[in-house]
Amino acid sequence: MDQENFLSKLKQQDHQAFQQLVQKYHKLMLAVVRPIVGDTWAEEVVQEAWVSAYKALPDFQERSTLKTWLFTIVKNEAFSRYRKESRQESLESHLPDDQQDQNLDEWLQHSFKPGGRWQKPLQQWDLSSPEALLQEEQLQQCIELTLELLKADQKAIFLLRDQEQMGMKEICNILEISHSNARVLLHRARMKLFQVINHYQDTGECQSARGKALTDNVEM
Amino acid sequence: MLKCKEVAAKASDYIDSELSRGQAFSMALHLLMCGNCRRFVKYFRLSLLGIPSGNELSADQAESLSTQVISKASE
Repeated sequence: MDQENFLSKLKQQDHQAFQQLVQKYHKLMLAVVRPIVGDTWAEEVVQEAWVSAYKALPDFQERSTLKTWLFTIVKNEAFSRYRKESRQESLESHLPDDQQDQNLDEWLQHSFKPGGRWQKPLQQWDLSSPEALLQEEQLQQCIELTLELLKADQKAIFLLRDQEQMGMKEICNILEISHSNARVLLHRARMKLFQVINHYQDTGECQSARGKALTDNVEM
Repeated sequence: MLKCKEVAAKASDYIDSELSRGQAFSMALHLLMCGNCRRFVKYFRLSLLGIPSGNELSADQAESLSTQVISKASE
C-alpha cells in the first residue's frame, strides 16, 4: 500500500490500516509519554491517545506529517493526565535511579588522565561494521537491554532521533524540552550505548545496567 | 587546544554538525593529530549504526490493541 492510499484508508477509519499504524507507532508513543507520566500511566495514556486519534482521523488535515500529528496527540494526552494527577514533582524526579548513569560516569572518570588525555588507547573492535554488530546475537541482546534500561527521557530522545531520524526541533516540541537539554540527554544515551558495545568488544560480556543480576538475565 | 575528554563530551554535537565553526575547527584539528580520538569518534558513530530496529508491536498485539481502541472509540 502506498503512503497516499494508506492515508486515505486511515482517514476512512479502515481497521486494517489503523492496526498497521498501531503496530508501527505504539512503542514509540509509549517512549514519548514515559518521561511525562512514568510507567504507571503510560499504557493507559497511549490507549486514550489512540482512541482520540482514531476519532480524529477523518479530520486529519495533513498540515503536519502523520507521525508528528500522532505524537502531538499523545503528548497532549500525557500532559493532560500529568496535570490531572496533580503531580507536583519535576519530570526527572520520578525517574528511577539509573545504574547505567553510574557506570557511564565511572567509565568516564577512569578513561581519562587528570590532564584530559585518554588513559590508554581504545582497543580495536573485532566487530567493526554495522552488519557485524547487527549479526552478533549476544551483543544485540545486550544493546536491547541497554536501551530498555535507559532513563525514560534519554530513551525517548534516543529512539526519536537515532531510530526514527526525526529532527531535534520536532523532538523538542513533542517532548517540550529545551534544545540544550535534549542534546545533553541524547549524548548521555549514545555514550551509554557506546560504552556497552566497547565493553562487549573488550570482554565479550554485557555490562549493561543494574549490575550482575541483569547481566545474568542476558544469558551470556 | 581541545582535550581528549572534551572530544568525548562533544562527540554527539560533532557528528550531528551542531558545533559552532570555531568548535568544529578545534575538533577537526584535534582529530587530525590524535589517533585515539579518531578511533573513538569512528566507533562512537558506528555504535549508532548497530542498533536493532525492533520498535514495532507484533501483529497479534497490534490486532488486539486496535480492536480494543476501535470498540472504545465507538462507545
